[in-house]
Amino acid sequence: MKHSNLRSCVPHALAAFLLAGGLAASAQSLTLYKAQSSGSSVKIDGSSTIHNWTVEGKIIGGQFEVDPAFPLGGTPPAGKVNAKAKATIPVRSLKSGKATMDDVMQEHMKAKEFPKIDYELVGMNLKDSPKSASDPLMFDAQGKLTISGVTRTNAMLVTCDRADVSKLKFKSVANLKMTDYGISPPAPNIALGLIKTGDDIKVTIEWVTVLPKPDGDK
Amino acid sequence: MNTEATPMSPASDVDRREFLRQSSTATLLASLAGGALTRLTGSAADPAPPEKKQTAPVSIGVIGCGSWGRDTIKTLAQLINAEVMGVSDHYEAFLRRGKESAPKAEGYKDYRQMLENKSIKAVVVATPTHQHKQVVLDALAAGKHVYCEAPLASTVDDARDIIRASRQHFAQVFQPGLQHRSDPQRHFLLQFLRSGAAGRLFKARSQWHKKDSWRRTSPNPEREKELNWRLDSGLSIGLAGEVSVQHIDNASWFLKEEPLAIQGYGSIQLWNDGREVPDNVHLIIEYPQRVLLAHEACLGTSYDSDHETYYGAESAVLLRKNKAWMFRESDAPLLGWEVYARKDKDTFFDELGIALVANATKLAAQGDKPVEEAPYANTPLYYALEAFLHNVHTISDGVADFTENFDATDKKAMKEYLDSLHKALMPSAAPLEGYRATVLAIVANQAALKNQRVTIPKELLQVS
Repeated sequence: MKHSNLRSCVPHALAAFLLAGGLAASAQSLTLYKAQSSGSSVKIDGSSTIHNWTVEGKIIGGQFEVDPAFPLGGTPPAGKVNAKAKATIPVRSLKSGKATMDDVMQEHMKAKEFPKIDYELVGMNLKDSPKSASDPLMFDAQGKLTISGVTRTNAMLVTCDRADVSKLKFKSVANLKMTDYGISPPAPNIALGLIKTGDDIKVTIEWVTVLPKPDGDK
Repeated sequence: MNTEATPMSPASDVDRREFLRQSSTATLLASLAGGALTRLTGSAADPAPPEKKQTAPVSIGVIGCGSWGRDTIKTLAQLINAEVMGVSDHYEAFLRRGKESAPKAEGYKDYRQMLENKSIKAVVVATPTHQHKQVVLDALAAGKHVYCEAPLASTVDDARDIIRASRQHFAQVFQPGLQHRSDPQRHFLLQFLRSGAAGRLFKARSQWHKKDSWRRTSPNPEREKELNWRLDSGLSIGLAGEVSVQHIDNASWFLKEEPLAIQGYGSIQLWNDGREVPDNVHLIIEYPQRVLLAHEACLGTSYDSDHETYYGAESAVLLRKNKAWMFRESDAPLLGWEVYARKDKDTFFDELGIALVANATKLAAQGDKPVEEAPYANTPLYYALEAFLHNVHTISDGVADFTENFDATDKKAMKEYLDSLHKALMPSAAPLEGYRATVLAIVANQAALKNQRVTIPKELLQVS
């Protein structure tokens, strides 16, 4: 009787074990990096009829996930990379150093209605295999960029510094047009209306992500 | 946020080369006209600011409803970003009068009960000076942003404790009430003087005159004693401390130096009613290179009110209220812009006062305001509170953004982030500036009481 019970239990236990193992493997299928609390930056350069301007921020939240099989510390081959990423920038964290200009910018970006700039990675390709394990990785990244509630597909070249694989620093430069995202370039009603902001902006991003510390290691 | 240096003062980094570069291009007129002093936009080339955006009001409480506290409440009522939701004073009559000025506010006899009100985000501390410390420490511990009147305290130890607490609560704004540090007219003059446009500054003079006994009466002897804390040398740092603190701080700010010593003279001339606190004070404040500020404060006369003069090798600059004039020496080189500036011929006996008016040509071009009008017509207290409210918003938003996106337990990173926001803050006195001004006020009072010269060790002006 006992033997019989044991015999009937073993397949179930094995199945449960395999299932649990499979689930765990699924949950751990990508390696998670979270946005680091410091070191990130976003810089937006633009122009106007009287001078160039710059807006900067230091908050880029979100996370990056990558296939653990991808040899971040080695010399991976060129090609598609199984990765996910979501990044967020609070609009009000972008500062020009001039409160009134910040007010104008936030108003034009409809910050009250759309307080965040969101980016979601939809595809990532390693351009070339690096020559050495310490060389930065260069990716072609395709993503969905949402600004002021308008989402557009975005393609950009992204560099990943991986000197320490527990900390990845992504760098990229994107040239955008405000009007593509429904933002009318500010033209303050001053100086006889002669001041007009240019439509083109250059966005420079440095985003630092880290492997989360294990619980109890804080 | 408690940035310790003076990063919130855009004009503080102006150097002569930069200013004279502006001066020589389209002359200084451009900077006088185009908003070189636009403390918000920061550069003469920036577009003029649009109408100030209305942000959500900061719910604020005022602790201490004496005359200064009530002035503060009335000033807050003029600011669109402020909503006075609480007033506190343990003296019933003052509390009632405070509530009259803030109809929406709840009254609290005990400020600690007001601090328990979570909807109140910030407080103004307008109690007698010797009571500031405990109130500030309690308010910071309760998570409130704090604006504390100057001087911060009547003892150095209390002032140090306040600064240390403000550092500990780095995610909250702590602003000492050195109002001139927020005044756009002062920022305009700071840029003018620091640039060297008046020549090398070699001396300064300031005064504060008001006929007022400082004595208050009450049918209740205990209350009367409390009301007259200013006359109690055990509690008060007197005229030299309570009044001169703003003048001395302004000179230190403009001269970009800290005093080395203060020689004081104090006497009781008109109000010899048993008080120990002088009603007439003269101070010689010694800055490096023997640059002297001669300051006097007097309760015996209202003649000539209050004003300051900074003497440069090429011109002297007089400040009265929110106006200023330059008086050129005959051998001074022509700067250019003064040709177009307004001249006041009969105001200063036979001296020719050249008006230093920020945005003067812009006002003229607009045609809707007379050039002689001072563009910044509000009181220094208004600008100081306006800056406080703006900075409370900026820092609160910064804390929220950081907490939402990062590990909120990483306090070092949070402090770094909040420090990085200093460029987005409106000009205001930093905590350490408030401490230094308070120490100088305390030293000035000691010098006046003892009719002595008191040296100021550098370490006294630091907080470890």
